Amino acid sequence: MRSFDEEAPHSTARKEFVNLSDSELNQTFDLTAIRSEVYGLVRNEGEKPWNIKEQELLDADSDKRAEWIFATRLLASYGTSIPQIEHLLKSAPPALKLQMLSKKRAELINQFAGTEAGQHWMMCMKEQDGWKYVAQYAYGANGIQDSGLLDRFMLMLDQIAIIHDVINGRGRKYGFDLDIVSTESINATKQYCKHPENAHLILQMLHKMIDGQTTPKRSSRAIRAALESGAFCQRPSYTWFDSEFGNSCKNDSSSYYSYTDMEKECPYDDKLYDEYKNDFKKFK
Amino acid sequence: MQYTIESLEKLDQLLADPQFDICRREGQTPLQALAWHLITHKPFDINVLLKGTCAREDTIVCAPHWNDDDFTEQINAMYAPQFTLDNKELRTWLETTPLHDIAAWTAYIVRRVELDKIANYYDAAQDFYADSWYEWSDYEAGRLAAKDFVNIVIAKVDEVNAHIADGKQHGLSMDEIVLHDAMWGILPKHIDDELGAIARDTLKTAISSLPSRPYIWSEAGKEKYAQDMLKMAAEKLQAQGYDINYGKGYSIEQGYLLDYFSRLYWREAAAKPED
Repeated sequence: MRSFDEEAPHSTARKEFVNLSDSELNQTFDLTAIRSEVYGLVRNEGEKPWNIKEQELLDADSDKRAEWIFATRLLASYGTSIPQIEHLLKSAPPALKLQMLSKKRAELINQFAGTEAGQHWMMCMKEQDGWKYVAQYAYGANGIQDSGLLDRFMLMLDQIAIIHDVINGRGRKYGFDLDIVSTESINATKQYCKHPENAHLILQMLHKMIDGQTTPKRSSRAIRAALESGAFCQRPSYTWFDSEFGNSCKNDSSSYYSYTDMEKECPYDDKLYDEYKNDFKKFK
Repeated sequence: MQYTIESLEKLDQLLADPQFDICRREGQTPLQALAWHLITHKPFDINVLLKGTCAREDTIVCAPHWNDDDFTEQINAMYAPQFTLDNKELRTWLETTPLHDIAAWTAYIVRRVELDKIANYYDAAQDFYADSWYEWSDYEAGRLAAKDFVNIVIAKVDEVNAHIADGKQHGLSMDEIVLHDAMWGILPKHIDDELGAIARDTLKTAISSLPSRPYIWSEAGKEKYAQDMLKMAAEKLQAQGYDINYGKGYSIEQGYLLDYFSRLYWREAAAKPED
């Protein structure tokens, strides 16, 4: 009777437009690099003495001004949707959190694509420096005049981007220590575990250790530690690794196989590796 | 005992009695049955609501879920003209009844019927309605008041109807309004005369480009026609400075236009395959 799972009856055209692959979702809604870039822009501008800045503002062509305003607004709205996401997570049982977040993200992207600014964002972000075109669209000489529309755009973008971060294992910085391990992931991992009933916990631990690592060597460390400690009875394939961690760390198949080859000398001699081995020992 | 309802005001008074609490699952009397039907998403005799002929037996069509297409067809056959906001009596009742929850459940039906009126024809309006679809979940979860849900449904339908009226005031036919919005990629807040002129010109070309009449519908024919017309429309738009990203990547405008021309080809065909 409840319509909780009732899907919104969007047109085929809209469904196709919002049907994004994982890499497209990252390209469109992972704002990590953009936030850093625009912060640099705002900071550099802020360091200028007022008399110089004042003159620039009065002389600035609309392009530069539009980028500066957009950058400031994007940063100012960062995190404003955290209370809503917090409420969403609190109202979901642990086993359903990931599913509900994914559903909410899809719902928001649908609504986002129902606005002109949102559609423009989703088109432009396929290009290099896409945000700058949106800055012109929003704040350029003939930009959007309705401040309410722009407020809603920023709020929706913030909400989608943060949910996207949480789904991809980057929720801790927002205070969400979410277990983002799905049933499919657990099932795919069991075959490698000495004790398959520990797959869920091993996977959780691996995510804590691997998510966010920026080099193949760092992201392979935990796998090798799990192998050496006996938690894993066989080396997981790169396909499995990429499927599980491909969106949250940097690695490639030849590096992965090289660093986790137990026939080769161990490439890790640091304290962190020892700690990881220790953590996995209880699963052997 | 049976109740006779002379007016919707009388209905409001009767249903205010606690025995018709919205949480009841089974009805012993027609009015209890009315409340129960609303809860369980079953269609009820609209005459109970509008004309008060409670003496009738319920001629109820049972269906598992409002989203079922067959069910929607049955509802439309039995009740649709009465479950739209064109029905002034129903609209007034929705806006004024103190029975907010029953009004919300009724507005839920109205929303579905209004959407079905334009679905698979007027994509921009369909997506406009669909964008606020989850507000029903918000009402069920207690995050949105019943009255607010009713007001949202009414506002959305009014906005679509006002836009259509605006288009007609600008001299556009319904087909041209739908095409104008398809080219815009959204349900816009106003009619753009320049875009309207392009829509009119495009539709004229599209109709004259249909195969010689009468023609038999074919999948290959439809696909070729739709693609050719999309290209034609993109060129006309580009010539006036409107970029729908044709040839570079997918856009909602292209999706809308392809479906628009596909439907035109289907609609005008003399013969079509059976479902």
